Amino acid sequence: MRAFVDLPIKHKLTLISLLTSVGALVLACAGFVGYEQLRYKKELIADISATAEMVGYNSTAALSFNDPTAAEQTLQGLVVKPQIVAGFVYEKDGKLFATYPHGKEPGLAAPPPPAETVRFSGNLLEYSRPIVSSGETIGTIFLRVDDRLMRERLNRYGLIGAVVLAVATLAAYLIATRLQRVISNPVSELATIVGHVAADQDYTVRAARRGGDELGRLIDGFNGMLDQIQARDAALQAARNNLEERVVERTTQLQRENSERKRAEEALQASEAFLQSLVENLPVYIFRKDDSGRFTFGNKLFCDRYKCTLAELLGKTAADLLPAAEAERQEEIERQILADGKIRETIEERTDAEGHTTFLQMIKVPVFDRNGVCAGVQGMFLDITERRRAEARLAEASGLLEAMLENSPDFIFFKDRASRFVRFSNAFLRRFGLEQPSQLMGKTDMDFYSSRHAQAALADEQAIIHTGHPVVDKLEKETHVDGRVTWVLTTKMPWRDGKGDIVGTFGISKDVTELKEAEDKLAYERDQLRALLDSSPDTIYFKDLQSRFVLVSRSKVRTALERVPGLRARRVSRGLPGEVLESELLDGLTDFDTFNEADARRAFDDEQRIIATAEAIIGKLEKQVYLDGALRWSLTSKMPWRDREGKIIGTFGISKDITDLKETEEKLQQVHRQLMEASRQAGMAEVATGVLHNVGNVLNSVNVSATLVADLVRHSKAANVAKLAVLFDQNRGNIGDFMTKDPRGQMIPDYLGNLAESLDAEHGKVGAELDNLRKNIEHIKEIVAMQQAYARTSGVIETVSLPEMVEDALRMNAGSLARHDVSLQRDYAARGVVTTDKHKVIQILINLIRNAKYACDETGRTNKQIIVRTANTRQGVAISVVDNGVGIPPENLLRVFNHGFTTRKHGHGFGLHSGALAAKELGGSLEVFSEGAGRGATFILKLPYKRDEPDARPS
Amino acid sequence: MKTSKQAGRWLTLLVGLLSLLPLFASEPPLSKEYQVKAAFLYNFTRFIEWPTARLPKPSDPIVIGVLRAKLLGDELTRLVQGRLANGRNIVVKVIAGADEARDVHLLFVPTGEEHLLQDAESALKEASVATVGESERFQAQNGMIVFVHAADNVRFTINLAAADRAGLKFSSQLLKLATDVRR
Repeated sequence: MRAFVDLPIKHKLTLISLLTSVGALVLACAGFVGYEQLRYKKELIADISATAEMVGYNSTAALSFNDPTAAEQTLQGLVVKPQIVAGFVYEKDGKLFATYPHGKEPGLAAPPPPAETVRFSGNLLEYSRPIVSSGETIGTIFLRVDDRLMRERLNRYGLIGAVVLAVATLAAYLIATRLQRVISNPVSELATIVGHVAADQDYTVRAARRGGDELGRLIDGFNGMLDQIQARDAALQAARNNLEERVVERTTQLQRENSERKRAEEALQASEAFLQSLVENLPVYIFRKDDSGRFTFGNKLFCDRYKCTLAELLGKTAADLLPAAEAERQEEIERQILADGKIRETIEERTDAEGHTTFLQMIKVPVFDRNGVCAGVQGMFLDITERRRAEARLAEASGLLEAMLENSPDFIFFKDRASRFVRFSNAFLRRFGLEQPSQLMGKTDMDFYSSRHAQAALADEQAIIHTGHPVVDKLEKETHVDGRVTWVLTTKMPWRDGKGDIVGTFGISKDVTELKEAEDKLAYERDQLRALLDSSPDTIYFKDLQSRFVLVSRSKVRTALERVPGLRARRVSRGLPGEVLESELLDGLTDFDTFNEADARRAFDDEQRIIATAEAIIGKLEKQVYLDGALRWSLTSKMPWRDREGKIIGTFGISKDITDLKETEEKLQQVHRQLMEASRQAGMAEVATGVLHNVGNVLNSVNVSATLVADLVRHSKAANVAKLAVLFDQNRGNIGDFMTKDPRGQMIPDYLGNLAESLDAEHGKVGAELDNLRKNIEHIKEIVAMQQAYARTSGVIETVSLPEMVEDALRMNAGSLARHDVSLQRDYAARGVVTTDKHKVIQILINLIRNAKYACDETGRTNKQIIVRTANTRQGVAISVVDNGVGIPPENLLRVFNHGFTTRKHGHGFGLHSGALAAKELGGSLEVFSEGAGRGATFILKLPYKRDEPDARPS
Repeated sequence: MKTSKQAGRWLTLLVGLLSLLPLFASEPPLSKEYQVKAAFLYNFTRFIEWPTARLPKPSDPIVIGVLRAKLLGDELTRLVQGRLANGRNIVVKVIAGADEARDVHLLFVPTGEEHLLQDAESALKEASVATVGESERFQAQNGMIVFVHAADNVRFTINLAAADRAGLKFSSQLLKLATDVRR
């Protein structure tokens, strides 16, 4: 090793190169050969494995179906792989199944295991693997391979490696001996130069430069080192030469400084005088203390403050001038200054004996002695009480403003002369959706509103700046940039600085958008109401708690103007202004000013009840008489008028004038009455006809009787009596002879006897006829009396027997029924009494019976029959008139009660109509049933037991 | 007296019935030949490929049908226990007639039962049933695999044309083993 260290560099380099090359080559060859052997072995096994698998697979069927011949045929395929010297297939249980070549013995002690196995045995490789079919091992294949080829290859590689190594070593030596010069030459050259410098102290020589590698840099560094040494050597020489010149120069400079100092001293004196004057004349308290806290100086102001002379002050301490605590504090400060030499500036609050507080701005500085050591403290202070107070006031004002800007919900803003925002309330900032004051600062209205509004506002503000007049409570419509519209009530004022100059404007705005919108809505609603009040033909009114008109529809005012003379004068008399708009004419007046006392009182009472009970009056019919006497009917609804809290503050109502309607109704009623009357009269006429007919009939009898009597009388034998009298007179003297002798006289007694008998009979006949006559006349009297009774004015409510009443009606028709050969059947189930208008009922019944009779007549049948039936119902009685006449077809059933409906040639068509109306009037009803044409009809009059009191309706 | 006579008759009948019991108690052993054939039937399933329509899912088992041969069926059932064919389970069914034959994949027709398939040839073809038989009659009925005896061994012939018609693919290995392949 020692020997190697001492070897010249060029030999070292050659040796290193050579060893490196050969070493690398040997390792490469060894690796290559080793790798090749491994790879070959692996390939061989892979090849054999694949072959075995293939043969095995192809043997599965042969194994499965136990066909060794087929298996050997398959194994025969191994002939293409010469390195495989033998192959065997075993069954699952280890029995030899097939061999290759045919008949070859495996030469194994035991059958190969049914698993993949590789084994090298001498020059042979033995390989076995299982034969698997459907996941089941059904046999084993075993192959034997000769690996001689592999070893031959390995030997060949070894030989090639040896030859390559020999050639490479030779080549490496040749190259290394040449290339080592590149390094070894410059190194030996440098070594020569170093030797020269060290020996001769010659710093001027330089090594030659060779390229930029480490050697090049080493040479450069070496040359640089020589450069520096050479320069330093020269500089040392120059400095030595320079020193003398500099000593002379310094002497001159010192002399100059001396004269300058003298001048400075003079200046110092002047400056001290100046200082003295400053100290004594400035409005500043100045004092100085030594390091033990004793005063060494105080200016006049200071001395005056503490009421002593300078001489008295000297030697005193703070404790002599100030309260103890304060003095202690000051001295503490001063001790600190003495300790650290730093200036202290404080604000002192002093309260004197009288309780006045003063503020002092105190500056204390250390005083240094000539040696720069702290020798005392100098203090100066100013009385800043006034300033402090002003500041406090200002701060307070400022704080108030801040608080206001911070919290006021109003928009407060300050603008400069160019109308740029300078200060503003938070509410104002938030109004634009901004967060930071900086976002609004310096902006103008132009940035947030439509240009129109912004320009108007700008004009306002410029006017304020020029004239100084504020704009107070101006309602402004603001259109924002996004189109939103808001309303504000703004007051703007000039903003003046301390000198009274206008520096801008400030203002306060209140957002009244909601108010404005509410107002607009209110106005809209008011307009709607006004339109209603102006146009509605109905009377609409609002009244206060005292029923005084508050709001009235125009129609009402018009009517009042028409009906109430001197309405304006009336207003004045009530203490109300007379000259008002037409629509307000009634305002403040009451119903008492338009209607008569009673009607007004009724309305007033209604309204007071509504106010008391909160119950509305709906659809009430009101009769009102105006002061001019005009009567008006109206249909009125009145309701409580509530304010927004729900409190009743009056009433309001709607009235519809239904006077015309009412009049029409009246007329209708009248017509109805007339109709009724006509009907009744018609009924009476009918009755009269019946009566006359009856009377006529009776008169016939009377006539017959009278004629009979007359005949009887005319042909009476009474005349024979006269003849007898004549006979008797002629034979006056000889009555006896005559009577006895004369043959005529002899006949007279018999004749007289016969005559007496005859006359007696005659007398009887006449008496009977006269009796008949009297009876007939009595009958006529009765008929007439009945008619008179019927013709009496109806409307009397009386309690009558139901059968009697029905009988009365029948009696009226009895004659006509008999005439028309209609049999009448009575079936009176109800035998009570009813309280009703008898004559109306009879009239209805007469009508019904008559109709029944006609109906029967029209059939032309012989068994014409009418049944009159009475029955009790739950509410009253039912009187049915049943006929077997022509009947009523269904289409006419509904029309029979119609006015003017008739099926008879001479019918007037209101018999049933008036009957139905009358029944209704009596609180009952008139109904009809018929099974159709030709099947008869039944009319039923239903009446209550007791007629209810007629209602209040005028009728 | 009459009653005891009847009782004696009953006793005789009972004894007769009891004497039959051993016949039911143990089955006759299957011959060696049919044990081999059973193994062959199982092995066939591994070398035959059915159309996908017959075995749509990977989990569908291969059904071996044995036509009216219970003993063979039992042997086969024992044989295929726990075994797979191409990854599928194997099920053995003893069937009675051609109707059931259509549901199986491999059908064994023993000698004497060929007539049952007389009219079912085309139906079995449609159903891709691989048919295995052992008689000339079966071969005449276009049976696909027919067992034959070569020396002492059981071998078989293949009617490949019939298999092709039924859409079945027989492995070349199987064909190689057949003593005769009709194409």
